[in-house]
Amino acid sequence: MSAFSSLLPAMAPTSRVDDIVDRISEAIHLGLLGDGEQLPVEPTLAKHFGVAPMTVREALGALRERGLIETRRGRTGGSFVRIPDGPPLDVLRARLVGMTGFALRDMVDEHSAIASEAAHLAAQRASATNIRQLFTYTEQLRTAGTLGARVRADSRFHIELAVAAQSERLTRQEVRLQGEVAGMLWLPVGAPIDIEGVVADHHQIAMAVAAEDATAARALTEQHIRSNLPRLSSIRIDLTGGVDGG
Amino acid sequence: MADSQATPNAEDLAGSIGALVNGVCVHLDHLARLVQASLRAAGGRPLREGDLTSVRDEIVSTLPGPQDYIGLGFAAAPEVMLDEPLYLLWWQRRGDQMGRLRLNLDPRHVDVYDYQTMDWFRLARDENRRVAFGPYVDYSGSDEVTITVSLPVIVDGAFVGVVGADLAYAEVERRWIEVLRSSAVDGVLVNSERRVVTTNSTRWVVSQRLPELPAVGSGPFTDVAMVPDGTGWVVALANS
Repeated sequence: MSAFSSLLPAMAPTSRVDDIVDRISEAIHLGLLGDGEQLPVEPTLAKHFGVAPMTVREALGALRERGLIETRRGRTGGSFVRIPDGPPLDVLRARLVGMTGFALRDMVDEHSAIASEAAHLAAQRASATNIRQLFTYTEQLRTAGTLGARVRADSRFHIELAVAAQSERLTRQEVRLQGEVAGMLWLPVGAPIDIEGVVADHHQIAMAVAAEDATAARALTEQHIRSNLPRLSSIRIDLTGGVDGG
Repeated sequence: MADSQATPNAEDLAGSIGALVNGVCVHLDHLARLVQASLRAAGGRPLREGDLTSVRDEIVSTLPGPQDYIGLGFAAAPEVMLDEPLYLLWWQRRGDQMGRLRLNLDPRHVDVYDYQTMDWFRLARDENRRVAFGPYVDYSGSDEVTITVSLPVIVDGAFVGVVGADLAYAEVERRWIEVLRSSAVDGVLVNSERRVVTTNSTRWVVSQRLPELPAVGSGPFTDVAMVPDGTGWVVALANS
């Protein structure tokens, strides 16, 4: 058995539908697509994702079922984004329970690699606009009144770090990782999350970027992302249940 | 010494580099005049979208022209538009497709795209000057590496907004690097935030922030010239 088969799995048509559904719903939950924003027409989306129009139609159907888009007919018709009040808790719980401890650790490893490097580069390259945005998202996280707003402010902070690194590729990776991690991290399960602690971490990272201290920015971010693993692991263990007592 | 006489100096290079932004600003000046005319025609009342038809038509007809344009538009100052604290009349182009940029402009919302905090808007307003911001990853807009050129629109002494053009870095960098390549020595184009825009040498990395804006005698620099386009960008040469 060569490594070829495991490293280069074939793309099943259904997984393409799921991929598109995931990408669009993540963009909606992260606030990258605004409420009421019109999605491009089916042929344009098909071209964008490099799939058949039929695949796009199926994906839009699934997004409609989840209540994330609304389709209107007629001259001013099309598919429009609907931002839900909060993240889809059932989906997130199921996703987290479905992950092995190994997969969870692997996800945090990848996130740590991407985010720490982004912070390191951001300290060397951030524009004044980037730095202001980092502090704005930190403040938004502190004052957020809903779970949805908290998840978005957290995600946007980390995405802004990658943007501040002036890297298109790291930004794309961070957007994808935030789509995976952010909702799960804030699941209201187990011990309540220490919001002030997260805000303090973000503030320190933003300060290091502003001070052009690349070493500190990297170290602080790595520590911050690494602390996600115990949080995610304990939620997963709580949700998995098992033998009661102990 | 014959070589160094044949090679252009920083000022020559800066002049060639500045031609691009100066050309963009001819379009932007025209757009700004249309915005001013719309406001004057409204006689001081807040504008509705319908009042900006001539501006929209100009955007839509100009945008498909220059190869390097990926966005063009007007961003209003607060109070300029009726019932809309933030208002963007901005169009984007991708290949031969064009569409209006729609962002969340609701200031009560956590995801608001508050362009008033962006340097291309803020600096044009606060310093009343041309701005060239970038290159940056524009994930709210074009989703491409972008340089945004902007200038303030003033009506009767009052700031009413900013007109701007998004340029594809991939296109403009090609032209600027050709200019720098005409130099026999190491050269670097640095933006007003002292970040490297492009270079003909491996001694600097694009997007890297220099410890200070280049000046003759500081660091390796032997010849420095301001790009004559009002943006505060600088061309600096260093002997190897």
